Formats: sequence, structure tokens, C-alpha cells
Amino acid sequence: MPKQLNNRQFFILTLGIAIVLRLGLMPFFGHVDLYSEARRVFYAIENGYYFDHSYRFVVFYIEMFFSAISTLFIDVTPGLFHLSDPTQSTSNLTDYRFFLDDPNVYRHLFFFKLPYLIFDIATAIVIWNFIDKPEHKKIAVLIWLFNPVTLFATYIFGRFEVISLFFLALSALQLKYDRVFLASLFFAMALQCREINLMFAPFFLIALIDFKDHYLRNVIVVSLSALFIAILYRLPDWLIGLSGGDLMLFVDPSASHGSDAFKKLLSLGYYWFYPIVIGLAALAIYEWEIGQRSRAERFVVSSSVALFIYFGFNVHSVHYAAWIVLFPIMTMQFGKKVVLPFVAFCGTWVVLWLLKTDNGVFTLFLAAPLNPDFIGLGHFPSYFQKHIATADLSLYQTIQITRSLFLVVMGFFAYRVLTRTGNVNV
Amino acid sequence: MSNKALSLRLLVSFLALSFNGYASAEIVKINDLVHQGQTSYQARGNDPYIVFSPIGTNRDSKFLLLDVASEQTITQLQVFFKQSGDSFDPSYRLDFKDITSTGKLALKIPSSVFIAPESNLRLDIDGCTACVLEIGDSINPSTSNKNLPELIPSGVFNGVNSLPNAGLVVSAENWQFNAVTGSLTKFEISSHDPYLVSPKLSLGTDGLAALYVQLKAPDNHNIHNDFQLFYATENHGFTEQASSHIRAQNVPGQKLELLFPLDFLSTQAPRGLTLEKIRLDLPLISGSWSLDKVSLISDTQLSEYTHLWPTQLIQNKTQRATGLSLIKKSISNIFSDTGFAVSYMVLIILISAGFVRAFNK
Repeated sequence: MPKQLNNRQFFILTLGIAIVLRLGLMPFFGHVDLYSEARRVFYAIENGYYFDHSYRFVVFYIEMFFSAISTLFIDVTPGLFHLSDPTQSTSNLTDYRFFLDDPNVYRHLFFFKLPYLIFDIATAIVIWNFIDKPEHKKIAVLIWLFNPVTLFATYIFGRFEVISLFFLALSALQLKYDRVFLASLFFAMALQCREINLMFAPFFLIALIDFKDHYLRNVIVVSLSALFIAILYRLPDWLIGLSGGDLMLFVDPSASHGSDAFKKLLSLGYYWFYPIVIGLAALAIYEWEIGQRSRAERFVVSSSVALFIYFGFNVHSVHYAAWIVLFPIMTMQFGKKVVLPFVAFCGTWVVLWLLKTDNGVFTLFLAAPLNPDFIGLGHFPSYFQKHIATADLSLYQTIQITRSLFLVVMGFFAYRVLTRTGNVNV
Repeated sequence: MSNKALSLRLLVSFLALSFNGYASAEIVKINDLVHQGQTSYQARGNDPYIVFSPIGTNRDSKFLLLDVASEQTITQLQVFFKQSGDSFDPSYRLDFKDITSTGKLALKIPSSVFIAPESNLRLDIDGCTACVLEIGDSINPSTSNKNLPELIPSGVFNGVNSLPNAGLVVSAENWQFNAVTGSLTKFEISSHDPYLVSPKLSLGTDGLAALYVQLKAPDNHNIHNDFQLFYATENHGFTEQASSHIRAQNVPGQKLELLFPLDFLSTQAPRGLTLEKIRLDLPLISGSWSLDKVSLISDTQLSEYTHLWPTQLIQNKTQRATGLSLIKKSISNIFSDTGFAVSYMVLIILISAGFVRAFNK
């Protein structure tokens, strides 16, 4: 009979396999968005623009740090990251092709993803420490380290979502031990990684309330925490302004879609906004109602369901699905049966993006660093149109059906996370 | 004559008596043509041509005389003049395109071309797949044009169009400009999409390694700029899918030297056998430019140009790897950065060993 692995052995073995798997992907895959991000970072380094009024400071500084280190190992080709107009920092295909054909492309990809690897593994360690029961924590870490969504988003597509998720996980871990100040600090750092994390802010603040405590003390704690997070969120911007800096890198001053979208959002101009607003409001009430549970449980459960609501009615880029992974896994600490809905989520995500992709999102385009001949090898939607689609089942209809299935899976997920249970994992 | 059919009468006159005693040629073979009478043929296929017996040219022959009478202008003729076994070598041919007149014509034989007197001759009539032809039985060489309208070949393929080992400097004459004013030695960019088009090259790609360009960009900038080379072959004209980009930094006061690799044309499938023309697209920089030299570099010369090998290069090719060859090329690409490949494997081995050790502790 094979020897049973103890917790330590299991964790080391799992981490070892996970790291080698990630190392195997890191240098060879990437989306044009990764190059755009790298170009912004190198532009800032080359020009000494360390402070500006842009956002995502935490992610940006982490990337800058590792990129600066990478120059010790890479003789950067002059002009490779040239940016004639920093307000137009998103790369076109020609610029990206120069990057792909650069003799150091594998080194660049490796070093640019290195912080992602570190924060990814660090998140696994946080999850391991967050969950108490050995059988739960093993499953949670396995899911985190080997789920296709995180692997794709981080190492194939090449985006920085895991950095943001690490700070959210760390914030939840601090809440587990009722360290409100540290939890607020890490939550503020998560906000500096990704704007979407603002969605979790109400649930974070409600989770801080200790219903057994005096209301005045709760008011003070929540207010101070909110103030602390707000100050940390705005502080870099104020400091730069006070020091006379007025740089606004990588922001297109002529682009109005952001403000237009915000106005549209505020005026309920998006059809998907109604159910999301209603759902999130109901969720806040629910979180209030389960006030007897621990802070960590309220935060993790509410944030999970917030994501289910958001993604149930709204889909963005393929890698945004990585946001869904963390919080549901952490709910296993509270006995939630999330493995089956997680498998269903991964399955529908793959099918949905096979159908929804364009030529560069969920195709062999992402293997172009290996060889540019991977570009333009075709994609699944054209195959579907040619060989599968019928008059009654067009590609568009199939996408809508899959999209509906995705909503169902989100509902299934929400049901499993909201259901109080004790011990089963499947 | 049917409206559907393209009616064309091609009469080859018997003019041998006035051609310095040269013998006239007789038809020995027809292809995709059906004989309908003494001089009449019905085209039945995509490749109608006539093979004439040896016409007895000598080195003084300057023209091939034809009497072409047609209800519709013939647009293209080809004369193949080197037989190899049963077929004709396409690298020995004269192309006559955009023909605007009919009647008696004198097809110009360039001085560089010698049609061997013992060689058969093949006349291809392109664009005629179902028409009726009236064809005489001869084609005749001549030292003069006999006051007939001359047809100048638009393409001369004389075998020697293969690239010499010493390379070939592209003539500075007959370049065409777009959005550019001035001459090659001094020009300015006048509007968007500036480019320069070479004269016809019609060069075999065997042994072709690269295209070398030496130019002088305006001194008022030193940023990186993109240059794009389009290359037209017998398979395609100028298209984005057959072009290369080089990003290069201008150093004020110095000439820019660009090397566009083109070796894949003859080595990768689908092969491009003939480099017809090139087009160089320039970045939008105001000021005084000059194109000092354009030359085609052979395999044997390439070692002299390795220092110019572009560090920033994009090659859009109709030639592309798929399947197993794509995987092999991908692996080869990884190992092209040997330092990285070795360090990467060592890193993975060390990390694996570290975890194994920690696991066994």
C-alpha cells in the first residue's frame, strides 16, 4: 500500500509540480497586451518617469522592479520598447511582431512573468494557511495551482491578475485573525492593483462589523478603515500633485469611452447593470443578516457571490475570469462544496471562449513567441461556422446558449457558496 | 464567328525572302488548339501555344516578325526560346504584355538575348482559352523591323537573370515614386504612404540571400523608424502578406544600411522563383532623403553583410510552416538563444532537485 503523504510532503510536491509547470509555460506564450504592458514599464524605466497620475501603482511598481532586474540578464534591443506617443501605449500587431522576432523574446517573457509566478505561489501559500482542515486545504491548493483559468490568464495570455488576487487573499487571511488594520492595508493595496476590486469594498466594510460589539465601536472601526483605505487609494496621486508632478502617462486624453461608460453606468444605461445592482444590494443585506458569522467568512462568501452576480450578467475579456477563482476556493474553509461548480465553471469558460474568441484571444496566436507562423492559423468560430453550424444553430445562437449556461453555472456556484454545510467537498 | 468566342486571327507571314536569307519556321506542335482548316485553329484549353521548328536566327537577328490581325487586341504574348527535352525552360523567355496594336508586328529581341538557330521556338497566346485563331505556318527572324510597329518585351528572361555570385546592383533608373518628390539622389516625402518602386528585376531567386539598401535619412531626427519592403514574385504582386519590416535608428550624419533577408523565397514552399520588383516604404519624416544603393546579395556574399543583419525584423511570408515543421521550427527558435535555453533547463533542474530534496527531508 503506498505511503500516505503528510501535509508538508503534499504541499511541497504540489508546489514543485506547479512551479515546473509554470516555468514550462512562462517564456513561450503571450498576448499582445503583455507586450503593451511591458512597453509601458520599460518606457517609464528608460525615461525615469517613476511617478505619474495613472493608476495600478502596486502592480506597476512590481513590474518595474522585475523589469529593472531583467536588464541585468538581457541586452535590450534598442527601440524594442520605443513608444513615440505614451498616450497611445496599446501595441499594434506590427510593434508586437518586432517583439516576437526579438532574439531576447523568451528572456523578456520569462522575467516579465516572474512576479506573476511569485505572487501566484504566494497566493497558494496564503490559501494553504487560510484553510484549516487538511483535506479541504489540499483540494483548495490543487484547484488554485492547476485550474486552467489561472494558468491561461497568467502564463499563456500573460496578465497580472494574480498580484491583485494575492492581496485580496492576504486581506481575507488577516480578517480570519481579526487584524482589521492589516486587512484594510492589503485591501487598499489590492485596490491599487485592479479597479474592479472596488466592487468588494462594501462587502469588506460590512465584514468588519462585529455584531457582538458596541455599535459605536463598530462605527469607529468601519469609518477609520474606510478612511484608511480611501487615503491609501488617493495618497500617491496627492503626493505626486503636491510634489509638482503632473504626468499622466498612458492615458489617451482624447478617449472618452471610459467617462462615457461611467456616465452610462450611473444612468443605468447598461442592460446588465440592473440585475447586478439589485443582486449586489441584496447581497449586502444578506451579509448584514449573517452577521453572527466570522469576518473572514462574510467577506469571502459575499465577495464570491458578488463575482457570480457580476459575471453572470456581464462578460469581459477572457482573462478576467481569473477573478472568479480565488474567493470560491477560500470558501472551502467554511465547508462550501465548490469543486463540482468549479469544474462546471472551467468547462463552460473553455467552451464559451472557444466560441467567442477572435483571432488573437483564445487561439494559437498566443503561441506566436514560439514561432510567428502560429499567427493566423485559424480559430474555432470559423471551424464551427464551416462544419457545425446549421440554419437552426448559428454561431451567435450557440454563444448565447453557452452564455446562458455560464449564468446557470454562476447560479449553481452561488447556491453552493450560500448553502451552509459542514464537511463535504464535492 | 460566335459572339461567345474571342475571335482572333493570327497570321504569320512568309517573309523569308526579305530576311537576309534566313529560313522561316514551320509549326511542329500545337497545344490546347484544334486544327480547323489550313490556318485556322480553335483554342480548347487554358494553355494554347504553338511550337515552331528552328527558325535559323543568328547573332544579328533583332526582331521576330509576325503578322497579327485580330478583331480584338491581343494583350499578351510569350516567346520561349530554350528547349529542354520536350519542354521549354521558363527562365528563357520574352514577355510581351499590354499589347495595344495589331497587324504586322516586330517583336524586339534584346541585344542580351541570343536565340539559338537550332532551337525550337514556342509562342504562347495568353488569355485565349476558347477563341478561334488563324495562324500561318511561320515566324521569321530579321535584322531590322521592316518599318513595322515594334513590340518591346516587358520581361526578358534570358537565363542570366539568375543572381551572379557577386550580387547585382539594382539600376538607379526607372524607379517609380509615390508621395515622394525629387530624384533618387535627393527626394522629399510629400504626403502619406511614401514609397519607391524599383524597375522590373525579373531575377531568379536561386542563390538570392538578401536585399541591401543604403540610404540617407533626414538629419533632423534620431528615433527608431520602420521601413517596409514589399517583394513581388511570379506568384503575387505587392501585398502585406509578402513584405518585411525593419526597425532602424537613424544616426544623424550617417547613412542607413538595411538588409532585408529574402533567402526564403527559393528555400521555402511555396517557392517564389522570380523576383519581379521590389517596393520600399519609408517612414513619414520630412526633410531631404537619398537612396544611394540597392543591391541584391547572393549566398556567397552574405558573410560580408552579417553585421547588418537586422535585430528588429518582421517577415510576412506566404511561405509558412505548419504541422511538424512548425513544431521543429519552434524548438529550433528556443535553442537559437543558447544562453537562455541552457540557463532555463538548468533552472528547472535545480528547482526540481530542490523540491525533491525538501520532499525527502
